[in-house]
Amino acid sequence: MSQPTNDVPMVNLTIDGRQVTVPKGTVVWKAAQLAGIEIPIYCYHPKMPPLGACRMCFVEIEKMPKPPQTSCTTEVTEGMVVHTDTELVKKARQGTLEFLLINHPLDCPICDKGGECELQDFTLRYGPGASRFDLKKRHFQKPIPVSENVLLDRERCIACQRCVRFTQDIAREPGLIMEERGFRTMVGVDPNAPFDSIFSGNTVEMCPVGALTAKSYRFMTRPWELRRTPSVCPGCAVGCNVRVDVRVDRVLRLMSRTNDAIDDGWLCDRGRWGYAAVNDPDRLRVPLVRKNGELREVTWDEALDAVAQRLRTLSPAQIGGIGSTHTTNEEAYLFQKILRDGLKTNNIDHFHGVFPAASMNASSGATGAMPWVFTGTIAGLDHAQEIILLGADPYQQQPVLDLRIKKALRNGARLTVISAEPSRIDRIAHRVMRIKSGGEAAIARTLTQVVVAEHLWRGTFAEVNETQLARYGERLKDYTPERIAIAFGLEAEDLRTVARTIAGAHGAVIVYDEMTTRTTGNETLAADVLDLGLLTDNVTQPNAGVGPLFSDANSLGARDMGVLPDVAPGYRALAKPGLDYAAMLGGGVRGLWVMGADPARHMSDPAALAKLETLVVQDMRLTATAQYAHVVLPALSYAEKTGSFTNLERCVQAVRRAMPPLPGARADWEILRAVGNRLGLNWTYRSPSDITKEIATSVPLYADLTREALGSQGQRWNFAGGREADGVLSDGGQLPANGSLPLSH
Amino acid sequence: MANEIIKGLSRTLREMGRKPTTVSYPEQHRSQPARYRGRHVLHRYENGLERCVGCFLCAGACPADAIYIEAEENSEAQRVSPGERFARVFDVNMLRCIFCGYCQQACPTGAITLEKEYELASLRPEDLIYHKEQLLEAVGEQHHGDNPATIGSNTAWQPQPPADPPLTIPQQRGTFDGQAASAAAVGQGNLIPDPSSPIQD
Repeated sequence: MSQPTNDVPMVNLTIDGRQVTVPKGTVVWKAAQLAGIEIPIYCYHPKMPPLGACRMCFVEIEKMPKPPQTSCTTEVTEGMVVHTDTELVKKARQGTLEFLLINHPLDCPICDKGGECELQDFTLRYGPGASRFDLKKRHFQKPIPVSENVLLDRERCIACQRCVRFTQDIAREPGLIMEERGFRTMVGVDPNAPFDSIFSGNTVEMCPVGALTAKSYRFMTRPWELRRTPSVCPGCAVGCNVRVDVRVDRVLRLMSRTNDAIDDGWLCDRGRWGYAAVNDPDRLRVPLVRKNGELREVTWDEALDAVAQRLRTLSPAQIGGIGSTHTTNEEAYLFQKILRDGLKTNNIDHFHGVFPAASMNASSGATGAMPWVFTGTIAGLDHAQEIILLGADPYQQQPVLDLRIKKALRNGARLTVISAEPSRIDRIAHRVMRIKSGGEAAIARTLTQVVVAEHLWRGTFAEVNETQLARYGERLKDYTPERIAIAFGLEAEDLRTVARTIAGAHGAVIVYDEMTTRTTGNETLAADVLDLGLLTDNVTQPNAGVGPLFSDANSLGARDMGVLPDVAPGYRALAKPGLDYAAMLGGGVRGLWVMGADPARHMSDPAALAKLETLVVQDMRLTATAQYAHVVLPALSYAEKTGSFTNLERCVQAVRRAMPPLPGARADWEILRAVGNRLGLNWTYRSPSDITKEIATSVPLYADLTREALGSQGQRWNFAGGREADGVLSDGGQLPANGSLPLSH
Repeated sequence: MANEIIKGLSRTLREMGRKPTTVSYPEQHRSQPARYRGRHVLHRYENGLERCVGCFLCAGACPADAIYIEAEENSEAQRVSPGERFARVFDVNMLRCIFCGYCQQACPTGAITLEKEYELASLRPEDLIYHKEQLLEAVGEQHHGDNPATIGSNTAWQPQPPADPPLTIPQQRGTFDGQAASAAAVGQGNLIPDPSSPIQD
């Protein structure tokens, strides 16, 4: 739902004798829900427009013709008097339920939905005690697969159309359709278009009965057996809020937990069903130490002693550490701390995109001084006017963001896709430009060139730096739309139009994928896009923003925590930067400590790892890197430990322990604490909360952060060093006003 | 004094002629009353298929959390129970079980009953977690019909459900009476549904 604005008039009404005040335009059902009155319903979904298909939400409204009325399609009016428990209403509900149950197979004992089924619940509360239908029920072939992951049982379907409306209106993808008419209506698969959406799991979750069920969850358990823990999806940098459902010692499913500012109530299939790594029977359970060329199982004490002893023999310059984008902030912080304080080295890095030097302006507290941070917010996309995907494919990389973009399109935004590879969203984009891989930075420069050449700049930053813009434009003189258009086979006029719309838009969002910056030719992409944003005033405006879309759950957190060679936590510049990722793997160090990463994947010759004198790996599985390790320490997954992740829009969210830890494995922070104490650091952290407290005092961006403050929806850090209240769409931070363009060209 | 002795002896002599109430266990077993609740038995249908569909309702009803189930899907190649679902794992922890019989009441298929066996002692605790193989009755040994032991003590003590509430509208009247409609009245008329041709897609 969009942010309620203050100028919507409020309406007073009475529901069952209770006075309710809601914004104009609210439907009666929602008003009753806000007042704490339950009206049974199937077809309504808070994120979709009302339909009035299920005929379940009857109420009686005084002075309205033809009672009863459906409360989901009736908007509130001033002085309305609603009754939800009259005899007429009860009779109408009973009638609807009796009809729904005529063809329902009542195979509740074997239905995956049984126990959390709205048809069960409402029948128990509002339904008739018995059916008068003693004819044959209709029968269909029991579950038919509608996609790789979803099964459809048409006997159970009550034709509420939630799933079809979701795929068609929210996800805007083909696949599910309604077939036939009248009492034969049922959900079916479009014969011409497969249902291969990455959002198919949402239809399973929103199905009020057991008609759509997940293959991976089929017959696994019953809902009352599950322990539910609110947490954060570890799948990508969006940081969707989830509920982790665990039975005994296995994660069985992730369900969405609505956070309007981030996931809008949705979850992608990759996150929802991507828990296999947690349940993997091949996970490491015992520490391994290399003896006579072979990894042997040893005790924890022996392994930890081996780590400390091996690292102590090396000089600080010979040691390097590779951190992870999957571990929590607390662990990332502790990792850089043990390397900097315990081993006195700055050789710390992780696999990340290419961004201009981190130290620059970063501690000035200015929005836009950190090119590696998306300056807008996810919720701000809702009302953006222009969305430019510059070498980004949210559908594959940050799927729930793709739904946000589609929501923005429904609100009237225009979408431009500029990328080398075709993507699923091209179909509904207003403009698609196919370029060569590595040309994204050139496009960004071209757009900036047009802005400068045509004097389209606006906003404080451009005014302050106006005198230098001519010189700046001179540097971009090679990037004329004509030249670039020829190089990529585009139309020059199209590029000009894009630049003009960005400069004229009431909020333009320009995003690129973090990994796009790693392609040759895109080294300056982050800076180029930021320049474009600053000159067109799309950095601090509400509903605007520029920046990268990160890949992993804690990509930004790892940067914030200083798992970088050149900055300490909070981007405080270091006098003597250490070696970066490539230099460490390229033979710059003799001892390497890898936490939760698999650098072998990024090496052309992984066997080079064998030349290291010491390789320590903390991971859940025996990864390609761990094969070369001298010590392997089994770590825990996100579902078994506590901590926090920072998503791509700077929102710090709490990850909670959802199940007992795998016997034998330890959380990364526990491993770090144990090694730290063997290195003489005397660490007394009892829990990740203690580390959070230390982060709050030593990292300005995370100042005053506590686990309690994270709550269930997280807290977004602000460029100015404070935190934002929920619902603030954009930052009020200042621009870098140091008299020169902030980025090197 | 002598009076008391005679009194005592007469009692002794009287009891000597009676059959003792004790039995020589374990050579002899006492028959159990109808409501006796002993070890669980998992039943089969007459065709040998398991009654249990792995619905977890017994585990949900169990106040002692003594039942652990893992369900799986029947395949055409390996059909264990009728329908889609069967219990691959069915463990009852007899150390936890309080023999309350709630599992039996919860079971929608009459698959689990508490029968008469009570010799459950063991020196090893792990032996007292009974697995499906131990609980399941052997094929061909199903008790059915006239044998009251079949459905365990159900018949003896379970309250019978109330009779179906009287129907306000006669079924299959075939005419619309203006008050309420049965499916027969508004749609299918007085057709006798043909079970061999259900509504197909």
